[in-house]
Amino acid sequence: MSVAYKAVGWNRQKRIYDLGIAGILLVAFGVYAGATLLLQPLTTAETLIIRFTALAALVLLHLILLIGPLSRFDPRFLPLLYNRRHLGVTMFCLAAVHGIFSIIQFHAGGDVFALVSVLTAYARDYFSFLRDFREVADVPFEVLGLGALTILFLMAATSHDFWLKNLGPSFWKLLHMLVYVAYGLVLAHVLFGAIQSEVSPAFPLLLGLGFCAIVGCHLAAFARERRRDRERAAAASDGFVLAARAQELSPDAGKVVVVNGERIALFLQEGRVFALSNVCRHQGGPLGEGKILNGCVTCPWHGYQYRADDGCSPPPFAEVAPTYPVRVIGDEVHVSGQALPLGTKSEGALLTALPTVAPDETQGAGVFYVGWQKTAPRAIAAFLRLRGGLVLVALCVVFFAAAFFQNPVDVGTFEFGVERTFTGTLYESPLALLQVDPGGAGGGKNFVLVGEGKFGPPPGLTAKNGDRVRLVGSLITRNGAAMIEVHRPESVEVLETSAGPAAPVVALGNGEFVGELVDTKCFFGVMRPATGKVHRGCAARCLSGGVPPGLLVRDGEGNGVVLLLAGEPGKPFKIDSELAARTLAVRGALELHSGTPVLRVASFRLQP
Amino acid sequence: MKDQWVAAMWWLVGGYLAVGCAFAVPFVLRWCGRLDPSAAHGNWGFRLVIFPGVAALWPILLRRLLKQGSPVPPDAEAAASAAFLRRLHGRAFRALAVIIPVLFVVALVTRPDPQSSKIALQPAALPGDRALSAVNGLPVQLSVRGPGPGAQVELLVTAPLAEPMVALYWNPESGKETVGPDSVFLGSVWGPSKLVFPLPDRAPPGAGNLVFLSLSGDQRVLASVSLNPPTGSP
Repeated sequence: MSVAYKAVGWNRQKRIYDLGIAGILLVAFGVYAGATLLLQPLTTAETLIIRFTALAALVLLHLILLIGPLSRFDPRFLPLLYNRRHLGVTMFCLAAVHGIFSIIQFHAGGDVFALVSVLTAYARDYFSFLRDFREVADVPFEVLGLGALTILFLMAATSHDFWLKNLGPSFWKLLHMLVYVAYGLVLAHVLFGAIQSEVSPAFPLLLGLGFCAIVGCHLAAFARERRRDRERAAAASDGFVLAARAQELSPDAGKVVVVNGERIALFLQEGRVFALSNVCRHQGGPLGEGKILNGCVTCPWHGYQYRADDGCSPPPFAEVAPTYPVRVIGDEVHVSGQALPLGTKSEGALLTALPTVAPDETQGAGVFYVGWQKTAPRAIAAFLRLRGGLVLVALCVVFFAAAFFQNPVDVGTFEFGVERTFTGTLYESPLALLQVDPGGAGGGKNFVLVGEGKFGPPPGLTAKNGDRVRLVGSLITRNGAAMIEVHRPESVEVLETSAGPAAPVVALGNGEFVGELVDTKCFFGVMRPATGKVHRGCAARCLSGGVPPGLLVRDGEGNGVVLLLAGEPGKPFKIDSELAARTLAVRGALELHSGTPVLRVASFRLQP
Repeated sequence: MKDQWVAAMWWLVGGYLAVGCAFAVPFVLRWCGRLDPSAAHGNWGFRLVIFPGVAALWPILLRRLLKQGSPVPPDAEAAASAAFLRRLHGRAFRALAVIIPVLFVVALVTRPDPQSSKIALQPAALPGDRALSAVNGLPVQLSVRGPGPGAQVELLVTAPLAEPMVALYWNPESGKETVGPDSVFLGSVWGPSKLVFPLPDRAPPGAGNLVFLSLSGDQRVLASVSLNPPTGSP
């Protein structure tokens, strides 16, 4: 109700509210980060941020959607509604951090612009479910998340009364009802994203419980509203209908009646009955559930005020609610469904048979919460403190459970920012490899070579096949498999040309292997997670950028090794990057190249 | 969808937002006051807060400015709008109550089995009881069915293996406890499980060695078993 707009119309209640949000998020972060780092110390900071912000945004979205129906059932929840937009903007900020970090981590630094990659990494699968139902699980979940984030942005960007006034309350409300579309998109994003990778049933269970709570509360609230709307009385010939009896009215408290299908709020002020529209001009709050405070009808949602006689907000405010003619016959209150012209002053109707109600139940604010007042009623504050404590405990359990049940992180090592010098012989077949000179660390072993970012070996390197070189790069290792991220390829120093043939290859025989197509750079240690659907966009970019593909084969315990995929001798091998993270059955000859298992691919097929 | 189409779409979005940002600067500084007197004296925080929304929704605001900054008229149909939004709210949640459970079922039914990425080459189990012999150093008991075409090796892995991937090879040369060029890859061993591998048709009865090779780390031979019938087996 500010006259000159401010960024935030701070008051004591809003400060308490925002401190509560910040406190709950800090505790939740402490629980989640502490448990994750304790249980899985190898978790990287960016993975922690991506997962926490996703979880926190999802939890806040559920809380936001619960506040509305809870307030309908119990007005003591109304303080949560009063400042809900701050909760919404906080939720959007968390979702935005999640989205930005995910796009940077999984799509940036490759051969395709990150935002393009978000929409095209799954291009193969957009409509594949029409051909095979089982392909539904491969729908591009990141696109769903991007759609939800766009809606949440529009809502957050217009969460100021300037927008409410200048877009018009109806359009503004319609825009903000897109939150239900966003909620559906978010659930689909999680169901076809993280839940496709996470093994524990705890995640679908928690998500299902949250969904049932929200839909159950909203449908119950909707049914309640519909029952109220059906309570209609027959209209008399002059348009007046019996709306209430004297004993149903309380001094200074409202009563909602339905006349000709329209909700009207009745108020008893100083012995006279007034009727005005039940719809607050601010956000459509139910005026009839409000009270008279300082001589004005006060909306229970955000404390907007109107005079009962003419429906106008007190100066300098300019909101006007329609008023309706009222007449009293005996103890019956009759209201016309035909509104008076806006701003028309009504005398109301004198009620001779005043109701007898105990003053402490109705006088003043009582247990009526108004956000702009300095303090909340004691009963409401105590009620919310208890519920807030319970919510905090429940959130701690949820965040701990999420940390406890999440998939273990992959266990590679990437010496990011650490440069080492390697000396050895370069070979381009079957892959770009550096066979490190004997004697030093990793001596005699083959190191797969890749470039920086999401790129394969720099093109200049393969031209030096058989040369003994010195190069600098960062080490990537996992379970004995080793890789070098080559830095500054132009500075590779050739020590000796045609240094000699590669070490003998051990042929291990032919076979068919079933496993997940991964990009070896991420799997060997650059990313955690480096497998599964959540990492799929990154794997697609790495493969299209030339990082050697690998087939991750697992045993029954979930342990796995990667077989580097290469073409048959003399034949180049290229695999469609859109097959990343899919299960393939690959037939070919298995070879050991100085300890590096390489599968010479003869054929492969996609496993459904 | 081709990359260039998506790139073009992002260019359009970027262009729209760039125009929006260019519009938003004068709007938040001056023009907002023409639409809304309360905005004329708004502080800097307010102007900053509305900037993203102006950049995103600039066509609506531009249209209103071009209409001489007429204020939004009082919503005469507010009650009808409220009733419409209530009905819309009910419908939205009834739709969600149907759509989301279907998505739940579809997502859970079609999600990949996390244990399904096993190595292939696992033939059907052998019928009947078999005499088993232990493989030194590995929690594996082994028996051989044969001789002749259809000969098979049956493994009972009684505990998880220490190695992430163990391969089983048949080396045709008896007494050779290594994997050589003539060796045949029979399959991979994981456990605990019961695994059956067919021997090559060319394998003579009782000839050759079975070699268990670790495929990770240093690729060392973990164990080797001769295909000669073990002493004492029935």
